[in-house]
Amino acid sequence: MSLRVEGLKIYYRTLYGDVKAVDDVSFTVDDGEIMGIAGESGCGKSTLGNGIMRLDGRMRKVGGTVELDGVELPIGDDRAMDRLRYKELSIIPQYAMSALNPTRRIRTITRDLLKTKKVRYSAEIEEFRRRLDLVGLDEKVLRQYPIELSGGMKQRIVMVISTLLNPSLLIADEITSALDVSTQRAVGEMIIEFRDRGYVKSVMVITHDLSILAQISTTILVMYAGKLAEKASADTIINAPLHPYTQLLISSLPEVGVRYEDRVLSGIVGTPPSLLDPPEGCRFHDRCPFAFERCHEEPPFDEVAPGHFVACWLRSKSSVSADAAAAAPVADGGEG
Amino acid sequence: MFARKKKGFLGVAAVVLAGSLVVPLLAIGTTASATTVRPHVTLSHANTVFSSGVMYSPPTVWNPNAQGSFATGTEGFLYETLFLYNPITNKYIPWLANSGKWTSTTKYVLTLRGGIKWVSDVANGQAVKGFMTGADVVFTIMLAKTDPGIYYSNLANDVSGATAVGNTVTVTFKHPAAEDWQSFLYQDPILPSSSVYGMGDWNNAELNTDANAAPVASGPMSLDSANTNSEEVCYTTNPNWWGANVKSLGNPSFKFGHWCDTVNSSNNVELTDFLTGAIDLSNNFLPGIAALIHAASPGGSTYGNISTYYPRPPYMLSANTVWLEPNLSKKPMSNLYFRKAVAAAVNESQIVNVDYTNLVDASNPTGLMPSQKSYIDTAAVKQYGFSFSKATAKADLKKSNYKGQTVTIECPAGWTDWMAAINLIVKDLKGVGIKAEALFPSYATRTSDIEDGTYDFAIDNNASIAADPYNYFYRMFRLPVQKVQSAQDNWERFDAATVGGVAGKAWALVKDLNATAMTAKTARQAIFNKLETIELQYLPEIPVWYNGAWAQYSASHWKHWPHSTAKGDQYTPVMWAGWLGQMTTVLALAQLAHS
Amino acid sequence: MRRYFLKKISIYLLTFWVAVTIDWGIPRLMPGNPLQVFLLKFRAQPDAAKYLQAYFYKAFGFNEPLWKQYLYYWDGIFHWNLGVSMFYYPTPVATVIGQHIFYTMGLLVPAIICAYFVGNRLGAMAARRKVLDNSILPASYLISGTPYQWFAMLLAFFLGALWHLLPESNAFAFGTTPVWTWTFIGNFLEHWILPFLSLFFIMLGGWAIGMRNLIIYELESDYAHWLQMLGSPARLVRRYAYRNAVLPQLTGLALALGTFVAGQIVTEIVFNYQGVGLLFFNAITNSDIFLMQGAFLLVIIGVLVANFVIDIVYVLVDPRTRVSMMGAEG
Repeated sequence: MSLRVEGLKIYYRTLYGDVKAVDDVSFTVDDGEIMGIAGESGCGKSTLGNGIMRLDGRMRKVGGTVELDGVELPIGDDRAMDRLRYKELSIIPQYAMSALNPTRRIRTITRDLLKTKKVRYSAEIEEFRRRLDLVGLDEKVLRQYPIELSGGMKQRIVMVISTLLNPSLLIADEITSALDVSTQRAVGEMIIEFRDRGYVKSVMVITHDLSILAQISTTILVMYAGKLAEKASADTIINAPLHPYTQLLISSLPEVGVRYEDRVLSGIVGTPPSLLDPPEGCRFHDRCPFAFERCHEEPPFDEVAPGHFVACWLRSKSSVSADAAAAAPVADGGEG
Repeated sequence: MFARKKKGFLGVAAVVLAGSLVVPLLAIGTTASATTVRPHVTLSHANTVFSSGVMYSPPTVWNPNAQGSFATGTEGFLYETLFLYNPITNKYIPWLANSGKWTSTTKYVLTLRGGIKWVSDVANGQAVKGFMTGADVVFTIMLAKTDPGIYYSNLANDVSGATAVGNTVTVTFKHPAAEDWQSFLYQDPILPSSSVYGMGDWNNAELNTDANAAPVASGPMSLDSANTNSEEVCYTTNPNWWGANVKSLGNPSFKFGHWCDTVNSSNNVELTDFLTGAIDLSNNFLPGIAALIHAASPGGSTYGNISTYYPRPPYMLSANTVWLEPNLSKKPMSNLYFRKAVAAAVNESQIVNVDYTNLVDASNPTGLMPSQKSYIDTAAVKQYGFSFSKATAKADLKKSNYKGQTVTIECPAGWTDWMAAINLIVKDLKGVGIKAEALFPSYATRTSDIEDGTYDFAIDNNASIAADPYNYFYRMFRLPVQKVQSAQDNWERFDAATVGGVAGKAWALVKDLNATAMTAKTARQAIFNKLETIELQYLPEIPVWYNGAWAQYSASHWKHWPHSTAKGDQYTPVMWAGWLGQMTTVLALAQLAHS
Repeated sequence: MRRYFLKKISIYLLTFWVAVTIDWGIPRLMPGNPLQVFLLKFRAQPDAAKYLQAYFYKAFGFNEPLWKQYLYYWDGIFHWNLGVSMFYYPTPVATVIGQHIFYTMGLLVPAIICAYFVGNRLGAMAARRKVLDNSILPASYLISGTPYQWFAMLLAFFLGALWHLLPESNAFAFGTTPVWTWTFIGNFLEHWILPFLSLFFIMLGGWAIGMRNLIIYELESDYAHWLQMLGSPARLVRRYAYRNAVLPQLTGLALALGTFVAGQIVTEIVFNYQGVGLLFFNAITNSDIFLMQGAFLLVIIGVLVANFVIDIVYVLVDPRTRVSMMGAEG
């Protein structure tokens, strides 16, 4: 089945007011789909991923629904969610390397976790060993303490443990950020492998690194300032993005093997807006080179082509100015 | 290993917890009484009397020569003297001796009673070792010559020899030494001379320092080692004691089977122990106890039947004179007018009322105790005596050319009643213009300050009650003054360097007293008068108040305690060294009956 | 592993040597002449005093040059002959300490251990909910800041003197003898309760505060968050946090146990409990340098042994130290 998010709003409560980290977000993730969520720091992608999993003390679900396999997730109710966590949905956290209790052996941690879901360790041990082997770990790590393992090994163990009960949805939060390129590739391949083998049905990969997403994801969702900018297949996003933000993102990536002697890497001028008091209308409009008067009104997240969603008046079907749409060139993409 | 760690740790902790209770109990139980021959008995209050107020450290020594370190009862319950002194009636009572007199100025003859037994370990059934004879008395006397470290070694300067025929002892002196000998008669216990069971074969080191933990003695009680521990020293009544047979003493015998004297701690513990009835006789200073005493007849009931010797202030018998002791070798104390100013400035009645809540009496300007009233030269007191008067103090201060130096007054830290008294005195002195400061160093420092002569003023109460003021003036005037005054005499350093020829005159008078027969009353009184005049004129010490012989008793378990109105019970109720063995406390205890 | 322990042992030996030297030296540097104070007890006449002074000067070894006295002291330590106490003369120091140490041990060790366990549990409870925290934490501050002697006097007065529920002084009743019988044990325990309570209640406050802070720190850690993300019940998270937080507390426990030999002076004074604290007090106020040396030596040994034990126990109990000691096996 799948994940369906409708109008989700998650705000942070602060002394100065609510920070609108995830503001009216809607999307779906199908079975078998690896959806990457990209965006710069502070755009709300981590809040989205972690919020679906567990709202911490500061987060508040203000509106919207989340449905997994047709069942609504009661993400506002911590106790009710506990029954579903780890079984139906799971997470590989951003801090995976330090997520293991340093004073317990790996097998003890696993055993205790499985016990909370009423699963006997002895029943799972074979599968566990097989999966460890899959990620390239010898079964002797079971007897070891986390401090005896390297960072990469610990992350792989956390990945295996988190997916041991075959959850429907796996949220992978910045799992490659701290790794070198070859390990990034290995981890990326692991995610694909897990999906292919059916260990997980769908995956949300949260990262700021578009290049990894280009490798592993089926679709890519681009977020900006708490709102969705664009969602399309990985190919499309990389090669034919429609949203100006995505275009600028892609074009700011360096190309491998290409040498520029007289061209400066283009970046995006300005900084993202404060989410405490976000501007009216499109949140990108003050940095957007193509902004026009309509942009003071918030654009809807429209499906402009099958499976391709954009939130931009330039592309929106309901846009009045078709000339503006025709006039806007399709930007050069970098390599996929 | 780790799965078992949780239980392992708790298990270890439980073992440690249990062990930390069991191991000490075991250790205490097996190391405590190593000398138990038979199973000990828990002493019940029905047959035991408990006292406190004497010992400040656990009982470890029963050697009467180790003055100051032996446990309660060493003198009195175990070892006895030839005579006793009753300060209340001012009479000597023949004790081990049944008579004694000077046959000439240099010869003294005494007869020992018959039937006095040397006894040991009555509690365990080991009893009579032998009988006391004149030989024991001779042995004790002659130790003054053979053991230079014995506490009465000064007797060697007086005695030329002693012989015994049966129970008659003749002591010959080099020169008349009436006072020294009188002191020996009632203050120094007789020791067993046998080489088999006594101290006859002890060398000097043993005589002076041995613990004597299995004492062989003549007294009314015997040491109960099985029940003696770090909290108390216990004695069993000696059925072989000679006292029960002596009609002239009233056939005294103890009606209790055991006596335990407990080690002291802080005031609050002593007070609670006494008030809850755990202690029958308390010789502690319990400030405020007067409030709990019924003013009526003895044994009157307010709080657990508490009473003291007197039903009214000062409630307690006087024990010694408390001096404000100036260091005459230092300025401005060396100035007579300064001392006069200080003497007149001190408000004694305030100390008596406020500090001691009337448990003591203000002293006579001579400092002689109430029992020595007959020796006071009232004319001299009228002429030279000081009294509380701020005007006189200020006038004397002017005459002294006081330059405004600050003087310190010291007493050991923790002696709270003295500390409070000093604070009052400091205020009094400041009130007349003398800059004074209280100083409360540790006991050790205060002792060295006095012995080394570096102090300014100190509170001192070394002059204890006695039959006559001889030892009072001995303590005051003894010469020569050493660089370190380790003996407790003449701490104020009254010598030629500070007061000129009168110091020598005073000491010569004291020595005269020793040379004058005890029976020559007029001659002796003349000497006392001269000494008092010197004292009042030169103020070597400033007597302030009489410290009490603190004694309060509860009739919860035992009754018939000494009381000023009780006929036949006017004895001293004090267990301190110098009282239990020398004064009439044993006779007081023989009156006790179960409540 | 062996090299680690060898290095530790040599450091401990060096510390022991320095500590004992200081222990020997300090009483001799204190003002006042101990021999003078000791002789004052004898109330001897000047001639006798001179004789006794000469005798005791030699007997206590003061006639020897200082360096020789120092070496004799070391020799004494190895034969467990700590000299003769001046205040408790003629009892040897080792005997005096032996007579008093077990009362202190029986009082302090159970108090420390019980306070440790109960205090840790209380602290862990406080970290669970804000409501509990708002009551347990200030209460812990209050009780851990209470002076021992004041609380002891309250207990002694109300439960002992006023309501006569329990005996308020001494280690056992007058007239009882410490031997291994049921009457004595019962009597001992009866007298033990109030001093034990006066120590236990105050000590647990400190442990509670420490544990509460440590648990809050653990609950903020990544592994705790991951467990919560995976839907673990609070019980499991608390259990993990508690086990990790208790490790630093162990160090504190060992140190507290190591210093029990110093006794608790004020408690022992208020209850007149014949323990080592009283010994210290008497030794210092009466300038008994040999007893002082002996008692402090005990504290030195106690602290060093406790530290050494905790070094070993910590290695066994916390895998992080073990691994960092051996070198990680990648």
